[in-house]
Amino acid sequence: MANKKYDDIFLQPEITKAGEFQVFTLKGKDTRGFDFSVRLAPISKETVPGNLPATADSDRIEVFIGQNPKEIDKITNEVEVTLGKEGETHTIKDASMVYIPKGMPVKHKVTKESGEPGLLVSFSLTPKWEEPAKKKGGK
Amino acid sequence: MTNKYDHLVLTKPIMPAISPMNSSFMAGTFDFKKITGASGNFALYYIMRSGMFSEPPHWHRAEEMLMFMSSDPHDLKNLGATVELGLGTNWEKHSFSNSCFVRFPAGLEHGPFNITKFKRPFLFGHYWASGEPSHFILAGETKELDLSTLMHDDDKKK
Repeated sequence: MANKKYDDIFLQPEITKAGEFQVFTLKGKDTRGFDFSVRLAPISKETVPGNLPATADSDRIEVFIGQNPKEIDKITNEVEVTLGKEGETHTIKDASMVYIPKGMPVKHKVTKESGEPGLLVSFSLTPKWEEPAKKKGGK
Repeated sequence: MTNKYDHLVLTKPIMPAISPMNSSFMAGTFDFKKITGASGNFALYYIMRSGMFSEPPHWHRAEEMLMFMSSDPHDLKNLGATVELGLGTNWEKHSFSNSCFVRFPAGLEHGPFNITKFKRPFLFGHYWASGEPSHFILAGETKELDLSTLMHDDDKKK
């Protein structure tokens, strides 16, 4: 099949197996050349990052979302997210978002598994975008 | 009692659906404004059925990424539906049925999005890694559109 002009804008993830589940990872660079990544994983002991504190050189957002599209706020599993050098622990029992600033140690511990696992989508962010001066005439 | 990092954890930040095709959603644009330096701009929700997205063909001033992700934790490759869309001024047609991201360069017109062969809900959303504003501009135009004009009438009343 002939290639099309815009075929290269479709980015394919790496999908790996972790226990009974799969994990989706996509890495790339933004338009300015900064690295970004997105990871989608079921919330389980086998797929959520482990109980060792980890840091990253970018801000991150973690989104915990239910698997039932009619009740996205409901998560049956529970995760402890421990933030900072202080080891401040927050228990995730419902759909939540966690903002992890660059360099902050974070660790996870799945403390309860029951029913559908729910999903964890982790985004890494690139440096803040600054709006360029608008050019006359649009694009 | 409050803890030092309570502001970093947002519980049940759920927004109402903006279209009958969509589930309610979680987004970073609004809630993270209260965190100094945070610049997340993303939304995440489920596509619930086949049909056309409510957004008409459009473009953005900065690069945008759209996420199409299977919600089956045992099969994250197969999206569970087919997505059709047009790209560029000649509306080059593309379709796919696997999980993927679509990275729209600044200025590239895209849409409409049509969901066919729907088997199960899938996760969808936009993601601006550096927190760019969306700058939603209709195809063929240069003026930014107020996104609230695309909301379903029932939701505008809420």
